[in-house]
Amino acid sequence: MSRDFDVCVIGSGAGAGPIIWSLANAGYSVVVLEKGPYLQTKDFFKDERYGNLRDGYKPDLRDEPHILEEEDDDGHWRARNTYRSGTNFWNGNLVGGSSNFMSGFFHRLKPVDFHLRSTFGAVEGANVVDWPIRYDDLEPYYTKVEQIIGVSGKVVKHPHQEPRSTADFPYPPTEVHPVAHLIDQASEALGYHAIPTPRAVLPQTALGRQGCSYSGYCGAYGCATGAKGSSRAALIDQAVATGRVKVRPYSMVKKIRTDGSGKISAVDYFNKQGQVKQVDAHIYVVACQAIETARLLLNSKGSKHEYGLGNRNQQIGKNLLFAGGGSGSGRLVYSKMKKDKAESLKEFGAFVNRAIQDWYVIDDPDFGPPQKGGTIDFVHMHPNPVVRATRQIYGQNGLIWGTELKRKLERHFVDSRYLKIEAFCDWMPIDDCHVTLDANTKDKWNLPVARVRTGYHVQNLQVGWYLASRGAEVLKKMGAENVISFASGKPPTNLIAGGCRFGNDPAASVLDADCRSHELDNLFVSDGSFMPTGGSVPYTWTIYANSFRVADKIIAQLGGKKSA
Amino acid sequence: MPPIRIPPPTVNLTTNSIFMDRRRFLFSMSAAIAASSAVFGGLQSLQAAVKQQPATIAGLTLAQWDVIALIQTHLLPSEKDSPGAKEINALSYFQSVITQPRHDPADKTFLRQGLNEIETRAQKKWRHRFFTLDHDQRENILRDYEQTRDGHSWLVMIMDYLMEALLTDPLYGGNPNGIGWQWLQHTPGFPRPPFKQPALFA
Ligand SMILES: Cc1cc2nc3c(=O)[nH]c(=O)nc-3n(C[C@H](O)[C@H](O)[C@H](O)COP(=O)(O)OP(=O)(O)OC[C@H]3O[C@@H](n4cnc5c(N)ncnc54)[C@H](O)[C@@H]3O)c2cc1C
Ligand code: SF4
Repeated sequence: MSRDFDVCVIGSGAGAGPIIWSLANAGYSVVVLEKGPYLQTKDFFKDERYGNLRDGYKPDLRDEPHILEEEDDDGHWRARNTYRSGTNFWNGNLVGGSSNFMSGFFHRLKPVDFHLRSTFGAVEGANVVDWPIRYDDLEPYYTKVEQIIGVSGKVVKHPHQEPRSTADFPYPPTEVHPVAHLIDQASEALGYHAIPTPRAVLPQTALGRQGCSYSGYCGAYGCATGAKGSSRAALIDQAVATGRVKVRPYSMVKKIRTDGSGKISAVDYFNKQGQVKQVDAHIYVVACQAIETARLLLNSKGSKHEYGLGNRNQQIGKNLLFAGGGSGSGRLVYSKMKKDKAESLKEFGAFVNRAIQDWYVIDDPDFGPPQKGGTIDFVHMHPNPVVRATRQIYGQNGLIWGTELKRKLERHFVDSRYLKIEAFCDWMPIDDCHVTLDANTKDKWNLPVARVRTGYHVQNLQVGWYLASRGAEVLKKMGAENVISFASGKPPTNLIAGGCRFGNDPAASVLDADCRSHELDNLFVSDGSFMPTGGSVPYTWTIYANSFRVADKIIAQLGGKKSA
Repeated sequence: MPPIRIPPPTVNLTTNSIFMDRRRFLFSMSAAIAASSAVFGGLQSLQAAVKQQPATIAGLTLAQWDVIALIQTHLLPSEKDSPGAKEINALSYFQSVITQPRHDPADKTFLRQGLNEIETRAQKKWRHRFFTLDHDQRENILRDYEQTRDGHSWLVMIMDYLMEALLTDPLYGGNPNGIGWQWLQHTPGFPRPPFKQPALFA
């Protein structure tokens, strides 16, 4: 049967890029439907206001809200519209998706992450399962990401170093801030292993992209050099150059349409003018980021798909994951250190790039039986000065203003180098963390919006706390003041996965081991939705690697790589 | 096991996302900014605009805006070695933000209500208009108002925009010549934003 394209990809972020790149390079035609604009590297700039304070790359929540369900202190679930709530589940709607704005802290999963259930047993109240694939299945693709998207780093020995098929990273670490050496010294004194954090950032010109300019404004900012390995800069722009990819920006997919036999007939989408258009293909790939992927599939009902597309067993939207963990910070006071040390710490622009994974598995009798732990990343405080300044207005006895505020601002900005810790643990998959459709709220296209319940398991807090307090020890050893650390059950809205688990049992999963729908052999999901458990690291390296793996499955299904 | 400290809702895991707390977010505009030259023209063009349409801005009379300016100065006073509300063009910055086409109209109403409340409190307590009170009397009224939920939120709104005027790009009308950045020794990122902002989701 003739189709408009070989493959139709919905979304264009980290989950989509490897599919687009691989299929185009294998000789297939690809159409990409992306709800946001197609910006180029030259369009990005570092603005304290536009991208951050005003969410300029995200839709107006009056037009496109989510409904957030949170548990109150009495155990009731309270729902509210995300407009003016302080929570925003959009992370960037444009070609490349939120990968344009990531910091690119990249860690691989480790072998243990693929079989948590059989290693540590069941966790009460959580739906922990083993993955249907093993680390060895994904390892070649982690390596592919290092080479094609560009990951910089340095392999050093530490207790939880995962196996690798290559000796080291293809790119050396980016430049580091002098504070990294203080972390190294403090960690060594404590017997911990501080390792260089791998980054999806090119330290030098390579792969047709410029090296990093060390502007100091990286995470949450679009990259103006192309050094950051966003799906757009690293993959889609190159794929478009093959001539086989058609990117259709401002194309909001409304529904994946099915015929009377239940097979996919076309995709309906709104174009920039708000008209409904259609496109068809042999293979359909959904990668809208976990919440929107679940929403689109749930919105794609048909006569043979009464609960949504490929949702006979009503698993879509369940076991949504965020990144679990803890956090903390400490303050190094310039006026209390030697002048040359203070001057060196005042340097601005280079990265901290240090992590500790000594407790990726926690084997500490005081903490209980051996269990999954996680990763501690050390990072600069976010550079946006407005956000930092605004926090200074809060005091213990009320708001601070006048000259008292001015002195506090001076202490904060002029006399301090703040260092933050971010501790990542597994976000336990539970029944109370899921996506459904809201029965009452529609977006500006009259489509039901996603309703997101964000319950968390107490183990997130326990492990998050454990890790954050270890990170805090390092900060104290470095001589930091005002060291705090804590765990949080609040979901970080930029690190989202799950909701369309892959697995071997169709009754308990949405996708098969190849991330193909159990019910439709030409429907794939390639963003982080497939993850049944999240691992104790940020997700994107795994999303990229898995998407390259799924691309190979799709190419095989289409008959293999076409000869040139 | 040691107790678990659950943090206030300001915490988000990544450094990278911006950690807004709810109060702050409540009074931040979430829409993309549609640019206009009046918005970015800074104080002079705004004063020119004011001259042409002297009646009200955002539904507030110019006399009411004088009170806002006074409150801004109270919250961020000028000093010999550091800028205050006046030097950072805080008033015109605030006016430009609140008159953006997609700025939530609820903020304007809230701004007016807060101002009326402050005026009422000044009359009741000191039998004078707020504008004529001395520093300590003003402090007293604002501190009292802060004790109420609305008062707290209202003051946070004013201070949030003060911090924006202090530390956002001069392009937006505050922080002239980077005076706020210089004071706090802040290194801005590069490249700097272009004159005209893309309104991506209009
Ligand atoms: C500030 C920030 C910092 C981060 N830092 C890190 C980090 O250091 N390390 C790390 O590993 N990860 C990080 N991340 C997370 C990383 O960006 C995401 O994990 C990754 O981009 C997710 O890929 P995705 O394909 O699921 O979604 P996205 O990359 O968000 O792509 C989804 C795309 O789908 C589009 N879309 C949605 N619905 C539709 C529809 N109906 N029709 C058409 N298009 C649609 C969206 O517009 C979007 O472009 C960060 C994210 C942010 C925002
Ligand atoms: S140039 Fe470097 S610091 Fe700037 S956004 Fe790109 S990767 Fe980040």
